[in-house]
Formats: sequence, structure tokens, C-alpha cells
Amino acid sequence: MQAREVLVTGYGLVAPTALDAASLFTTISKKRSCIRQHPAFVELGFANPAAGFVDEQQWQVIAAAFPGDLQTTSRQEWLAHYVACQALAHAGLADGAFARIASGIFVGANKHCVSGDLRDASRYMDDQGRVDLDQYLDNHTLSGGAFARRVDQQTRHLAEWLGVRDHISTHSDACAAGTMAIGSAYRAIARGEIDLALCGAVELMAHELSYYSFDGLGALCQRVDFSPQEQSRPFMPDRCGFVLSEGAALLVLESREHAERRQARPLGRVLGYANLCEAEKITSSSRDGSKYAACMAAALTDAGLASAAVDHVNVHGTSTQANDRCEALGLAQVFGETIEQMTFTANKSAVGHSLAGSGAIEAVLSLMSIQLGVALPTLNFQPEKSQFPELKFLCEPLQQPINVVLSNSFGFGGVNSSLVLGRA
Amino acid sequence: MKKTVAIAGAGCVLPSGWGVESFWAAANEGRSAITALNTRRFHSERVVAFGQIQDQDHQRSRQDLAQNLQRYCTPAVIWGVSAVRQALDEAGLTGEQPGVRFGLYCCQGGYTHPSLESYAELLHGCRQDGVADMAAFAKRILQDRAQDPFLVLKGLSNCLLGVTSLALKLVGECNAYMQGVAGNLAALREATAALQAGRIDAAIIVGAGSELDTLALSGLVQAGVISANGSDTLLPFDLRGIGGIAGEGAAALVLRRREDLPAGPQTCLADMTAHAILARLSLPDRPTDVLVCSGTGDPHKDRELCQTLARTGASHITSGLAINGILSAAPSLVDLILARGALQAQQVPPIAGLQQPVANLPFVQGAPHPASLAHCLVLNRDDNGFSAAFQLFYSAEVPQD
Repeated sequence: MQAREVLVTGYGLVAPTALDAASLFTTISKKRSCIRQHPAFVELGFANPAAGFVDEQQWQVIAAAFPGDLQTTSRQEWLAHYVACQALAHAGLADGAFARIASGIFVGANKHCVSGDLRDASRYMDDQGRVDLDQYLDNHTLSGGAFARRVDQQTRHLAEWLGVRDHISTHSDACAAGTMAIGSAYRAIARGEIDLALCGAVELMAHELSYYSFDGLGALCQRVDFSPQEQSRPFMPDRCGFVLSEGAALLVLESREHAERRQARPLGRVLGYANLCEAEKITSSSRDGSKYAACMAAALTDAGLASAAVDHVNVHGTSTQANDRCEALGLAQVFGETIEQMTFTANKSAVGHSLAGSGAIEAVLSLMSIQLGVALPTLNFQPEKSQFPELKFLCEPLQQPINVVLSNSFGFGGVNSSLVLGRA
Repeated sequence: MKKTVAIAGAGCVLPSGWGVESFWAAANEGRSAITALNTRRFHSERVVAFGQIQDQDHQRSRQDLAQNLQRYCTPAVIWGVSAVRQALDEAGLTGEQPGVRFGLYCCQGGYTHPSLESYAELLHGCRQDGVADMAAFAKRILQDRAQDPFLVLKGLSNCLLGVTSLALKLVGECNAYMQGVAGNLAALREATAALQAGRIDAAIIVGAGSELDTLALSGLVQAGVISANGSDTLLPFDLRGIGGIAGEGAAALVLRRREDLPAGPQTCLADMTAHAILARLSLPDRPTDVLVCSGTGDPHKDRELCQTLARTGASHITSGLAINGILSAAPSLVDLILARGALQAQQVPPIAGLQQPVANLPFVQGAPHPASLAHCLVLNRDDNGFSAAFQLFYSAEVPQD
């Protein structure tokens, strides 16, 4: 059966310092970083409090737009609603559109953190550290509703609000989850199961518990001699870990038939997608980059494109030594000599690593690059010092026609994904 | 025409025991595996029962996973890998079968790790004036390195996927989902689509999780999903029910295209539907021979649920909820295993403990009920409101796709 064409007709985004996609694109174009000192991390006395985070001013705007009871709903629901409203408005869709046809919600999200609850629970510990559950129940109500800490609450909210009756899924593929949510939506439309999808990620992990965990593994940058803005430096020899971040992006995908029926304005196309669990190591890929290369090549095969068709790559580029090296080697295997004609961007240099959020945010930025014909700069990149000079990262935004972008997301657990986006 | 997909193997590690046979035996005997809650991390006189994996079953599961991988795992992930190995054994496969392209689709429970227990010792050590000093807690972790270095891996929502793929050396398509019914449905949908599209030849679907944690259980109490009245019996669809009891465990299925399986009877997946609102869930047009539906243990909620059950026109209704408790990660997979057992045995297990049904529907009570069964519906409603329906049919014939 012939796969159907899948168009992107709208998107919405919230990232650290940016309440919409255009603001984030402008911020990165002007080589400004979204990474700052996180006040909660400062208060806790972290030696390095750098993070990308949605700040209280942003939360006020997001909360004000939420139609439900703020006391009994979670922040991830408010954020999902805010970003979804942007995406629907951008696509020219009423919220009733999803209930009328076969549709789906595909949202990437990994964890919600509970340090306030930990502190509260510690009040009811006895001398052996055992919690008196009955006292805890009598004296403590979980803020944001009983299920606020569950990862699927934003998905449930969107599904209920939009009346989605078909695909409803919360993707938790670590750092690849946002890209894999978009990939699953693309496949469901391509094979004719649904006509309309809202997909992407909502991730709120710029939190001390996530920080402790990733720091324990040595994955976070701890170079305090770098300013917060300088710490995420993908593909530079002195890169030393990622900067924790958060954010959300949702895209509206439609079958071409559905989009044309309602005369929607296409913003781009999803041309191909692949994912691969690599069974290599739980935290790193094959040292020669071959597993990453296999995933990228599979996505290009799915798109029916030769590697030479790709103009621009939005890399995963976490700024860790191992990941960037593997990705650089994988890119060289996939693109060979054509690599020198291509441009590359590493958005995490400006935004930090928002885990599931990053794949969705980077997909939106990639689509904007296609629409605007602008390749985004990579912050903190110095070509003369580059460890991988064959990868042409930019220090300034570059006007160039971009028809096809490959966007990579590789996750802990050995889960890889690549998305091929193109002009509508 | 879409190719028919069949269940080629199943496995589970549940409170009822290690393996599908233990679960099936408990279901037919109407024997609940819910026991007195046993944990060293909290105590309660109000939440006293739990569907808990027994230590011997945990130890048996550990034999299925290399020691060096166990350091990355929560107990639930270990059960998940063991359930996968059982399902592969029944399907006559290993993860590295030459010529067979595998897909791996995982689902974890919602609130499982890092749990309060992960931090309990540290929190206790940082208490000053009766409450943990979170700055001291931060210092212990960041400067003294007092936290388990593998906590980030144990806390990954795709830990089950990562460890299973490493244990089986399985390279291929994959997806990790979160949370009960919605996660199970998404995993089954993606797996079925990949088989039908010909991208893979065998799909492994596995769910694993536990809510045995202070914060998780208090969330379930607050939501009214489990009772906090000292109850130690879970009675779905019974007027005597006084609320839910949580459980833990893992279940796995191996799916294959029907045409790739040998001749003989097979349990096939016919259709799946979903909705965030139960009343709007699309149900099959034709009456079903047997309906598997968990229920809740709360008579008011179960009576409401019965309005939807009545729409199915089922000849027999059963539930496995009282056997294992309310499962966070694999509710639909466990019900599918129960449904498959009923179709294979041509026998519907009773609802354990049911004496006073909340509605006049064909609930199976007392003893297993032999019947001619061809079509089965599994209907699940998650505790946060999400609903799904799965249709199965049992056939000796290979359908002409």
C-alpha cells in the first residue's frame, strides 16, 4: 500500500526564555543563550547552578491561559495546553477538529520530580527512617492533583480536551522521546490510521533530582570556569557534559488529503523516520558511530532519499565527549564526501538538553530553517578549534536554501531516532 | 487488507506466581494472591494489603538476567526481562534468531522510580528538627557522592527497554511508553502496525512496574483508586467491595503474523480502540463470547462500569483483578493473557470472591465455566480515566489476507 504524505501545518513551543517558536528562533539567530543560573539550584548551594528553565514569569503567562482549576491540575498539563493552543491556532484548527475524525495525541515525556514531596514525607519518618503512611495521608495532600506526578497527565489532558478517540500515547524513550513521538504520529498518518495528529514533547526536568542523577553519572557539565552560557559547547574539544534544560513543543501533522480538504497552509513535510534500539551499552553507543549511522541511514531509506539530498543536519549534539564523537563518526559514514556541502546546527548549545523536549523543539527549529531559509548558528563553536572540521557548524546565522533536514535524537538506554523533514 | 496478527507467546511474573501457568491456575481456582503488605520503608494500619511479588519469584526472575545488568534495574525491570524470556520460549524464539527481525515495545508504570525509597536513607540522614534539610541533602549527593550512581538508569522510563535489548542482544525497532492502559495500547498498536507493514517479523511487548512506595500509594489513596480503610480483600463487581488494592508485576507477549505461525489454533488480535472517556469508547458491533474487564473493587464505580459492559452483549464476564491487584504497568497485557487462556481452554475462570454482583450481567462466579468461545473482548479503564478495548478471536484456520 502506498504510504500517504504527511504535512506539518502548525506548531507551538515554549523553551527557557521563549514563549513561542519565533522568539526562540530569533534568540538563537542573535547568538543568545537560554541558559542561566537556576534560582532553585543557587538556593540549594550547587557549585554549578547552570540550567535552562521555564521561569516564574513564563509560568504566570502559561497558568493564566489554562482553562481548568490550577489547584487540581499539574504544571505539565498547563504547559501542554498552552503549547497545543499555539499549535492549533498556527494550523488554523478549532479544538473540535480532532474529535470529528480519526486522530491521535503522541507526547514525549520522561519523569516528573518530587523533591517537595520527599521533604514532606521526611517529616513522618521514625528513628529507623520508616514513614508513617497514615500520618502522611492525614496531613499531606499532593499538590496539583493525585496523579500530578504521573508522566502521562499532559497526554490525558490533551486527549480529553480534544476528544481524541484513536491514538493516545506517552512516549518515554529518554532523550529520543520527542522525536519518537513525532515519528509514531507520522507513521500512523502515513499508513492511513489517522488523518490528524498533535505530537511532540512536554518535559519538565530542570529539577534538582534530575540534576543529581545525571551528575552522578558524570553527564553534566561541571566547568564552573565557564559562564552558564558557555557550558554547552557541542563538538568542541573542551566539551564536558550537557546542561540540563526543559521545554515543550507540539506539532500538528496531517495527511495531505486532510490538509488540502480544509485548505490548510503546509509548513513542511515529514519525509522519513527511523528508530533503533542498539543493544550496545546502556549509556553510550558504538564507539565507531556505526549504530547512529544505521539509524540515520534507515530514516533516509524510509524517506526514499539519497544522503546527498540532505542540506542541513540538526544534530543531537549533547556536548558530552562520547556522544558527540559517536555522532560525528556516524555522520561521516552516512554522508561521505557530500558532508562538506552541508551545514550543521546544534541547538543544545543555546537551549541546553531538555531530554524528550529537545527532539520536538529541534524539529520545530528545523522546520523554521526550511521555511525561512536560515541555518542557525551553534553557540560556543570556534571553527579553528573544532575537533571535527568536516562538520560545518556556523558561528553566524546563514541564509541558504534548505530543502531537506535530518534531525537526530539519541537516548540513554540505547534508543536512537532520526527524522527527515522537508519543504512542503 | 491488513495481515492478521496472533499471540505467539506469553509470560508473566505476578503476585500469583512466576509464569502464565501459575496465573491461570490462580484464576481458575478463584484464588487471590493479595497478601499483607510487607515493606521495610513505611508502615500503615490503613493501607495493609498489596499484590506483591513473592521473594522466590523475584529470585527465579533474577536467573534470567546477567548479574552485571541487574545493577541498572529496579525489581520490576528484572521481572519484565523474565516475562519476555518466557514469552519468547513459548514462541520458540530467542532475541537473536537468524532471519527474524524483532521489534521491542515496552511500557513502565507511572510512579515507580526514583521512588521515596531510593532517597529514604539519605533523607533520614539529613533530617534536622524533624524534617530533611534539602541543602544538606544536595551536599551529600553532589559533594559526598552518597547517591546510587545508577539511580539515573533505574529512573529512566525506558530502563525496561534498554535492559531488555541488552539482555537479548536485540537490535531493532523499539518504543518505550508510560503508564497502564494507554501505554499497553500504544505498545500493542505500534507492534501490530510494524508487523503488518512488514518492518519486523516478531514483536515483543512487555509491561513492568510497581507502586510499592509511600508517594505512589498515597497518590492512589488520594485519587480514590485504592482504599485506606484497612481492607485486605479486593472484590471487583461485588456489592461488598470496599475499594481497590494495588499490585505489582510484569507481563509480556510475543506477536507474530498469523501466516508465519504453524497451522493450528491461534489467538489473534482483531481490533483495538481507545478513548479518554469510557462512555465514548467504540465497542464491537457483534456480541462477544467472553469479556475480560478488571473492575475497580468500588461498587459505585463498578456499577457505572457495568453500563458499558452491558453494551458489549457478552455471554460471560470475568476479571483477574482480585488475583493480582491493580497493576500500574501491564493491566491490559495481563488481561490479554487471561483472555487467551480462556480461548485456548474454552473455559472462563470465575471472578475471585464474587458473591453479590453489582449488576444483573453474566459474571462467572464460583467455578470455571466451560463454554464454546471464539470471540473475546478485553475492556480496560485506567485509574486516571483512560479506556481501551481489545478484540481477540480464536481460530484454527489461517485467514486469507
